[in-house]
Amino acid sequence: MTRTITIDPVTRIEGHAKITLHLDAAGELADARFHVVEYRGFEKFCEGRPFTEMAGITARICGICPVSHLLAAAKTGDKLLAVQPPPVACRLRRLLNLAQICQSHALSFFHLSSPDFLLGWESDPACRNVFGLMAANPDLARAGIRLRQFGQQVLELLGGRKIHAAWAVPGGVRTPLKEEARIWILEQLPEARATVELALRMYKQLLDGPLEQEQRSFGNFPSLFLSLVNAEGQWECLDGAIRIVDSEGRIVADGLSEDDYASFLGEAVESWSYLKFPYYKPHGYPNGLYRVGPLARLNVCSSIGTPWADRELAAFRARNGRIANSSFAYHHARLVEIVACLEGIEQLVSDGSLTTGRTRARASLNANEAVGVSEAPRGTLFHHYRVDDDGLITRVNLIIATGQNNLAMNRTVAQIAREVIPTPVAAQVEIPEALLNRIEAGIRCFDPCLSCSTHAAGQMPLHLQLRDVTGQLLAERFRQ
Amino acid sequence: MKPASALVIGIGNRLRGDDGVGALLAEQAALWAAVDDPLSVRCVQQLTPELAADLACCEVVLFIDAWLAPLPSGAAARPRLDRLEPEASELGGFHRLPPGQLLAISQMLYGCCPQADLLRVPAHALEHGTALSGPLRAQLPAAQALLHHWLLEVACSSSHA
Repeated sequence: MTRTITIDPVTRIEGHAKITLHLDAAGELADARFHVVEYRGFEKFCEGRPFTEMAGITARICGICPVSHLLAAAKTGDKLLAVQPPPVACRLRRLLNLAQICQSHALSFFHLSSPDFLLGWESDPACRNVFGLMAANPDLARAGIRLRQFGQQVLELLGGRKIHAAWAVPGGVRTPLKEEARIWILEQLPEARATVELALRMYKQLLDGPLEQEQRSFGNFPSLFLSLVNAEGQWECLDGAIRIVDSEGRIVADGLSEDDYASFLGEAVESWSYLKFPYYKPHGYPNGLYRVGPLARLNVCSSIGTPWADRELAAFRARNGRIANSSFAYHHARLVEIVACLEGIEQLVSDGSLTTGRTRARASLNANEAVGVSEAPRGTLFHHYRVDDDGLITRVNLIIATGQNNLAMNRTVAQIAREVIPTPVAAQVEIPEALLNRIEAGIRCFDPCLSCSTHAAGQMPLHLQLRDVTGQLLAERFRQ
Repeated sequence: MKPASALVIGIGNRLRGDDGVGALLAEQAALWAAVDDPLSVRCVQQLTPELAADLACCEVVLFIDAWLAPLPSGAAARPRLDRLEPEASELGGFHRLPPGQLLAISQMLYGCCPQADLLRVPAHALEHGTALSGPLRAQLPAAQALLHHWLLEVACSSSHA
């Protein structure tokens, strides 16, 4: 008799989902499903709009990572215009993306995940949240807020607003950086660096102690990893080519162009989720499971290219091996990437050329189809547009980072459940709080943005169900 | 730079009809404020924890927001000005906070939070567009009167204290 455990809703992530755990006739865990149950349909209602509007429209998919869509859409627009943005515009876009990754990672690490690390899995859920964190460690909470504020302020200085700034456009960006803004960013960097130093020191101590088991058991499995790298194979957040490595560090594919994504990425669908299941085509579905995002970027790159970040990358690899297979290492990878972002920002704003010169190449429509790519905080993001001769969209396909991690999230949930639930599971079973906590935390490793990945809205509460082989509900728990 | 002792925060999305009334009134507050009054004005789509630092620097704060009032059918909601208290409970996400939680964050992280009021203006249409609905426009004078009262009685007394 197969049974199912359902977690619905899952909290402290973006969007709404539930989790079901399916037991087989022997009471062993047979399958785990992360159901994403909301739908918005951006790909459909963009049809008929001018491609020049796509940056502004697709940025509205999300309030946390609108910059990622803004940049992917602008880069797709560059190709439809068949122009190369001016060098200053390319550097300004990079500055925007670094600031975005910094603020998004700060939100994920300090606000969403730290309560689990610092307050403990068994602590009262009513207190295991950001307010509990503030009470337990106000200095860390304050520093995290300040770090995110720094990233958001850079976004506002560039785009005129923190959220949904329609600043990157096909052909470049609207305006250069103002000199006073450049100076302000330079002045703020020491505090931001100090915050990451504090967080890294604290987090490494936790990994050596109370989080050792989680680091070992949360979604620790071999998979492929995909990200952009630059021409030297180094960490890259905006340009470059796609590289895929396996769990041994072997390069499976290299120098791939986003233009050809359909030749190496497939998108499977399942009846129980609106979130698609991208996979690496040569390995088939579902064996072509791959991971994207901070963990993948650190696994894929040869180095980062800035001194402090490379030291932290070396420490990360000393702890995890050349390839970190544990999904729990996403958290550590985010901190390393914040370091990379801060050093990248410093390099860019130390260059006074960001405040002058041409920032936009202008042209009319010169192509009817294009694919743009960027590295969003959560992973590689593809925008694919087809337009008619008037530049009106006829087809859109968006491949979102969280979707690309979908198979890995399901496998992570299954692995945690096997670790936590004593099997065979009895017919009458109470779902323990520890199971809810750890499964939620397993999903949270990926910092999933369901608003983006289904282009869906809403917050994410948690609902867990246990079902038998016939689908009969044996137990369930809710958490708002 | 002397920190503002009074802060007005307009909440809402100007592209969603009546939801933009918070920003509209906050900008009017900036125009009405006396030149020498240290009034600071912010317009935001949603309240985020970063604003807690701004709250900790001021003595009084006014939040202005659109309000979908739960009223019996036929009853007409009126703009309201209410006193707020810190509220340290979590309602899910951390990047969209109610004003009471933002006050609580200010209290917890910075050891202080200002006296706070919330001006709520009944909203009727939140569809795409920048225009305010007719029923909301009809209520604007009452909302402006409450705002004016707050500026005179609360903000000014704060700055002259």
